[in-house]
Amino acid sequence: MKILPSLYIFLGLASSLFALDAAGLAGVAAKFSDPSGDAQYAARAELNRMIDQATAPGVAESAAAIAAVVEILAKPETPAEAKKYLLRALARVGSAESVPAAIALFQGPDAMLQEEARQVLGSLNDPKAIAALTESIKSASSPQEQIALLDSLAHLRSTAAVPAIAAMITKPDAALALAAIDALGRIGGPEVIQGLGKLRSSTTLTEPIKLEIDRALLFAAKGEDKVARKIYQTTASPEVKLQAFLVLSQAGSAAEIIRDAMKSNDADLRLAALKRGLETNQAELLQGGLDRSTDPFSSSERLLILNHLPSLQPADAAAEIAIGALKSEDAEQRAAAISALGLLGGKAAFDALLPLLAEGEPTISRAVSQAIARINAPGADESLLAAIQGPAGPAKQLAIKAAASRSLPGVLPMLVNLIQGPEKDAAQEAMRSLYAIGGIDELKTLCAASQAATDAQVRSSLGSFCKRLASRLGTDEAKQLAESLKAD
Amino acid sequence: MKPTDTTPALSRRNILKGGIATLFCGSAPMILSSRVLGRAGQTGPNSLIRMGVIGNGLISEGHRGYALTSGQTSLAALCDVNRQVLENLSGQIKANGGSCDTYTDHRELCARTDIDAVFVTTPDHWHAAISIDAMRNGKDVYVEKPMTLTIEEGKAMCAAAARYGRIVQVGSQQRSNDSFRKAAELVLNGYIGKVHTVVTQLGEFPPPTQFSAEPVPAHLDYDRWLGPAPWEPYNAERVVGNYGGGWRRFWEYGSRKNGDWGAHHFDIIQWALGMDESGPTLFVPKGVDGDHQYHVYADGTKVIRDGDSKGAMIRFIGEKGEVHVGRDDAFVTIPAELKSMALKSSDKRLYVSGDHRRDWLQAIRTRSQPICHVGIGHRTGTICQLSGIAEILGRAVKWDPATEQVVDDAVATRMMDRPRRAPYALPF
Repeated sequence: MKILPSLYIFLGLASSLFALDAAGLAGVAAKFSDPSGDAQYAARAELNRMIDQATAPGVAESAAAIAAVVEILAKPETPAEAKKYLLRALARVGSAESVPAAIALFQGPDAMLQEEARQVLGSLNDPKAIAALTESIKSASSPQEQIALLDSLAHLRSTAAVPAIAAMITKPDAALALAAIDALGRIGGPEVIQGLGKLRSSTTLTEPIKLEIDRALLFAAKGEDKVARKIYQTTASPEVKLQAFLVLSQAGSAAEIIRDAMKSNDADLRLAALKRGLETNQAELLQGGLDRSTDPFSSSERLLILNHLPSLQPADAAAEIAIGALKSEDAEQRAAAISALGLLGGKAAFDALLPLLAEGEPTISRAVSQAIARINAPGADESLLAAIQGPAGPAKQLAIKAAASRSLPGVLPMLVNLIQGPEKDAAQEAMRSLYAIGGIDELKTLCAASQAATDAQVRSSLGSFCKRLASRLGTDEAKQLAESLKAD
Repeated sequence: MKPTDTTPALSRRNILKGGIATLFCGSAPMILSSRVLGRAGQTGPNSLIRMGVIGNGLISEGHRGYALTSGQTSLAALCDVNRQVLENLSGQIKANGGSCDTYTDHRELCARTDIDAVFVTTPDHWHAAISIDAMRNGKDVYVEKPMTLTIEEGKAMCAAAARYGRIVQVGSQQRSNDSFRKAAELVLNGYIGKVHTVVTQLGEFPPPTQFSAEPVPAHLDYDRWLGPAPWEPYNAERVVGNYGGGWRRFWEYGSRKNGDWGAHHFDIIQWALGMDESGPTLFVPKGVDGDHQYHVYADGTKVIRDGDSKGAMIRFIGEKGEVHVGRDDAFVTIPAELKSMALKSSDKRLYVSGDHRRDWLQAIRTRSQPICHVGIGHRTGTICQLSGIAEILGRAVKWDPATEQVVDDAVATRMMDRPRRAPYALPF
């Protein structure tokens, strides 16, 4: 990027301008005593601006700037509100040097600053910060505080804190125990997986807590086949089983697990397995895993299959399935089959779609229109033009729409003729289509036709359409043509 | 879908409510729903999808109405931290002959086993935590845009959707509009040549301010409204939801205009440029290199905020033409014929959805990806958030979209996430 060098040269030159000292910061911090909200916000913005500029990449004095923030934080005369925002700034820019100051406020008497300092320590991946947070788990005055500490340690992925966190699982407060399980799951690693695995087989825990352990284990194991398989085979929870399936179906044993899951009594799991099978295009697997002679596909499963048809191979076989589904009594399934045929393309698909142009059901006619507008099939264009020239009816209207949306060669004069013709519905559809695709030539022809018309109603209708078309085209020539029309 | 059973079964909330008694064997009977016991009572796949709406402020009205009237859904529960809002809404539903349960804590709603899906329509700072909790409890999610407040939350949302096998639709509904799609298809297929500049209109909010402290109304759980965001004293103006300011003007709860209109327009720009799985490489705030904020893609395409868009919401400028697009089907091309030109069979086609919510329901039924799935929402959200980070820091921020990491800026890197106020941890 050309812009970048100049930006960073600018920052480099300006670095001395952004040097930050404790006196300057103290001056801004004092403004927090101002009772005006706007003044306080201005002070906060100024603090942030000073600190962010002084710690920008390429600014040499950033360590000194952080030291200045730490110095002001330690001063008793600094207003608590200013300390609050200085701590928030430290959470963004702080370094190992900031940790003692944050610990001092974390262990200090002001509850608001304790919480702000905890957030700072939870942002700095520093051994002293982790040690301070870990030690505080035992001495915290409430489960709420302990949960907050666990969250910080989990955020830091601190393996050093694992023993202290694990000790919370057996505490009498349920929320604390669950937070500890969550935290261990987020930290992960072999020690956690082993520990949670042992805990899982404990006979003293209830199913609900085991479920939470399973969730944590799945998260901690990060796709580890062995752990997920054990949970898949033993969990009582459909949700957790589904999670384990999702892990396993991405792993090496995908085919086997998909086959197993497709035989499940659980509809969600079966659907997930079918989806995975379709996504991986495992036609053989799908056939082997499903015996639908006694257990027909559900509506959701049918829809899923139809939606995946365009990506299944071979395309001919996929089109055959879609054509078969056109007979379904379920409009949603028919619409999905139509969309699939539009994407699959080919003569068979187009031939199956063409008769559907006459469909009255709005969902179907919309799907047919969209499918035909996009389909790539030999002979499609000729068939559509023939349908336009055919007898009046819904099929003709949809053919007009589809042909127009494909911008078929020769369609524009046809539309112009239809607009002037006797078939009212076809004329209206032609107007809608021509409005979208017509150009200056069609406008000229229709303006001339309007002026030549002897029937006042025809003249008015054509004139009104010409004005709309001219407005869409927006060129001076088009506007002049529209203005030249006689007013009725 | 799921059985009509309001019993929270093996849920976290059930454990929490029962305290230690539910943790260990022999202390209390465990409640298991039919869902857990082999799902004998499971209803058919064509039954109504039972919905919950979490966050019932300004933007939720359309979603609530849809849940009540779509014919494919039923509204089972509402959740809001404002009890007055809940009382009013449940009163309205009752007056119309319906009924709906209400909660002030989203975890209670998420623990319901008879609810299949939720609309998450809270302020941005709650989107990720609630969505993940809902997914963890087996619910599909429609979450308002921007999908998350931070980049790391976006990654966590993607991971959760994959882990729990849930369907997430992000409320960038411009993708379900024909004009935006056609505009994007023209750009994507090179009909205006190589795009070098995109101009988009986001507008401005009033600057943030420090409101004076006011007493917290008895009907509002203000601590839960703040949730993971930093603590600030209550003021009615801080929590109000409106399109001209309210909570949207603060960095603590959103990304200001970048997360507001930016979440819509940046999303369409990503789509049109074929960048749904990638993103820009440089973010420059207003005032650092001229009067306009902008971001740049690796190929040099520059997206300028609030420049001359010729009255359009988004103006794509290519070497051979332009595409201007906006809401209410505002769609202009230069040359004009492009607008109505049909795509060639070899052209790339974009996903067609005529209705954003209906598209989500279809995806729920078929377990397929909706038009604006979680991965897309994350990438668009990342642009909103990096634009905000650059603005807050007052400097350019470089980004590697392949590794999803900030380049050479430790502070901006740390700002990919935010500290969370206790006890509002991000679930996994």
